Amino acid sequence: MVSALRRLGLAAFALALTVGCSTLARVNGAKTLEPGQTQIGVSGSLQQGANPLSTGTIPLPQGEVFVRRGLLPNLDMGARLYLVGAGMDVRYRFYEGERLHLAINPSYGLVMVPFVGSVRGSGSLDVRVPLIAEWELGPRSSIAGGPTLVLRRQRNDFTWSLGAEETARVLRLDAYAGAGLRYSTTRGRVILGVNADLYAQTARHAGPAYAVGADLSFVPQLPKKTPRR
Amino acid sequence: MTPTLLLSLFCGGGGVAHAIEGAEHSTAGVQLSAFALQTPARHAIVPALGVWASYTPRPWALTGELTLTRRAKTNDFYGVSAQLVRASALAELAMGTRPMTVHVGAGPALTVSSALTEWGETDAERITRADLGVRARVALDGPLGERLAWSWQVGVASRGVYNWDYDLGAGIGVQW
Repeated sequence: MVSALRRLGLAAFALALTVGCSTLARVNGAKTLEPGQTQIGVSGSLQQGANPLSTGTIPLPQGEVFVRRGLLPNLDMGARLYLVGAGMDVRYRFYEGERLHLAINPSYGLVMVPFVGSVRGSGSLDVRVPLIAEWELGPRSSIAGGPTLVLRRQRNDFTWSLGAEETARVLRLDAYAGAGLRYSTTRGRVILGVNADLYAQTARHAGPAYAVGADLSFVPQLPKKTPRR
Repeated sequence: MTPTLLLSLFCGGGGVAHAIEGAEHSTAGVQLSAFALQTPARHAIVPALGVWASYTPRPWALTGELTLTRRAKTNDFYGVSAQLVRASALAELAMGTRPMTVHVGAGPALTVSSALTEWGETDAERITRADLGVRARVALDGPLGERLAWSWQVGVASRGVYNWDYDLGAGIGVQW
């Protein structure tokens, strides 16, 4: 049993190393949390073209846990912890209609991979700027989507041995310009979402990148305000 | 007809638009950016210094930008020193439910670049050119107290058809 768990753990670790890229899946709509409100969730996705390893091969899995907190009216903040990386974002709802909500959701993310094959140390830092429109289909469901630009600084340190060991560092910029859609439905305090994103890699013409996934989150009840005396 | 009103009509049933409108203001300031400059091989990331001025009668805005950056590269065979100046004017949609404003806009850009390439100790050639292109950006700005303002932006600009530069910057300025 322990051996099987160890093997499973090693397999999960190896899988995490092959991902080597931040998540491209969207888990946010445009409706911000109320001040003081918290959202906790998990997400899983398959993505392809998000890094050189998955270009032209098979979609690779990505998973994450995320948490959000309402800061001010129309403004909340989130953190994501995904395989081999983490990110933080701020979401600002700049338009609130009866059924339509518009938001901007700038975020920063980073990835650190210790090794993959001949790559001895790899990492990236990215900034994302999604513009999100969310349309409430009914009291419990909505559809959200919009364009996103992702700029990512990628670093790969290579080591090879031809007699003497040599190393090289390759830096490049990845830019993803695309759009995505997310459908979400709320049951009580549980939110279930499915998402799909499609990007062109405009900085290095490496073909399209896409992600499809699902997320499940929980929004606990707002803490009751203590009446002032 | 304002975009907010259009959105309200689109919402149906007299949608409630909670955007702050009519908050006319102007900002101007200095911005530091990380500039991803397209080169023949890849994008080179260099720092850039810029100034901006925005006139924002919400839900519209007009923004002008002037950005300066420099790139130098030397190896055993040659050395390149290039300067780039870009001026752009953008027509923008500017909206917000707080004193913070989201700008989404596009417009023409003129980029003048001058590159000096040197081979060895005697051969050198300077090429100066001007390229027309387009510029688009998504930006946030807001007040810092009564007189000061901050800005943050991500943008893309072209030099001609095939060269596309990206930038990410933050700035500080004044508002009135």
